[in-house]
Amino acid sequence: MACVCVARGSLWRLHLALHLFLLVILLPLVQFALLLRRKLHLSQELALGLALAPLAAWLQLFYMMGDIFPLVASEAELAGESLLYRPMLRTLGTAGVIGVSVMAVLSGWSSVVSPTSSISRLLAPVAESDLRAAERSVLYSLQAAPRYTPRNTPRNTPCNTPCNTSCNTPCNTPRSAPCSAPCSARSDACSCLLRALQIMLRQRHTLALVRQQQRAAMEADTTAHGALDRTPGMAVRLGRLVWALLLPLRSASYRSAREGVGAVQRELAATRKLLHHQLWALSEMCDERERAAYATTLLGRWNNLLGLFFAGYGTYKVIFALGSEPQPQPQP
Amino acid sequence: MADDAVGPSGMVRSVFTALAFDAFLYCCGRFVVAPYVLRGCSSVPRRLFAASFSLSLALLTLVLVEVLGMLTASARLLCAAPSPWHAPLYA
Repeated sequence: MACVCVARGSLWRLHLALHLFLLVILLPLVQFALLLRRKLHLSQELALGLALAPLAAWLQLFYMMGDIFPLVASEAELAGESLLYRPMLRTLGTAGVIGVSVMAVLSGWSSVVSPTSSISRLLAPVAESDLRAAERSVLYSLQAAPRYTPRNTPRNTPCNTPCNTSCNTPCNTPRSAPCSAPCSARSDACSCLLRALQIMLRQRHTLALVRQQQRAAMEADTTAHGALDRTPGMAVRLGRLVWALLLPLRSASYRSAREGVGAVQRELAATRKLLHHQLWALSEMCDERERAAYATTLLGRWNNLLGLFFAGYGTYKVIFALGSEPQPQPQP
Repeated sequence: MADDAVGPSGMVRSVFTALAFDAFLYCCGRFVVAPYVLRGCSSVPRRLFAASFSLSLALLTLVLVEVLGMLTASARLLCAAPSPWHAPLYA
């Protein structure tokens, strides 16, 4: 039985160590690497290598937070523990402090935001005209959305993709022309949302095509510049990164490809941001209309009554808890 | 754990059972839960999610096993020598 207890203790410490390693080191490392890879368009190995620097800064910050908020008051409490288990306890304490602080901040945030949204919802109910205006603005943005045609695609071939999910038929218009197939359900909010989502997905596909062209241009540039880029190794990769930053020194085809990619990326980002904002507002309005319709039903009225009852009960408990606070006993 | 798991063989059996349980939880998190939770993500976030999922549930299971073991011991102690506070329950 003692061996089983030892095995349980060892397993507990092993799992705790693995979990802390995952939480403190591995997850921040992967987050930094993914961020660098997305922002700088690096390879996975290079992004992982460059992510070690912000990881070191994060570990330093983590260590400093452990000094400010120590879980263990003194070294005497760690006297019976092994040397391997002591840093685990310190890391666990710091991670616990961070977790409790984040929970407190999120709780305070939601306790402020939720009544604000409820009051704004009560003071300004959504009218049908507001909903129609939001739909019109989204439709206008969708019709004005840019359509980028990759160079390798023939410009006069039909795209054969459904332009609207509600009608679900291919529009068969040339790729160079804007997709203007009419659909009877276009004014509906749901079809509007679905079509916007489809266009955003198509933009993501377009961006993938653009990046493919960028990679092809980079490979052509690499073959033109010879042995420096073909040699493997970390230092050469860093040199390649520095060389990529010196854009005016590169070839004319590479410069034009990079400038074209940048322009398309900026245009798509602006369109995506505008569409995201308008779709968010439209989705909020649709949710509010649905909520108002649910509140008129019998189940909605019953839930409203239950909410009022529990709010009154909570107020009653708080008031009587404040009244029954124990008084300090006078010292003899 | 079984009471007959005494000695080094019992320890090895416990360790292998825990590792098999970890592998089972990892497979559940990787192939069952992650496709529903992380749609459209690459394999790296899914593997990290599965690792976190399996380690969290394994730690929770170890805590539950320990607490259940403590509860059994205290119940035995309580039945052997009931305190005056619990005396009316055993009268």
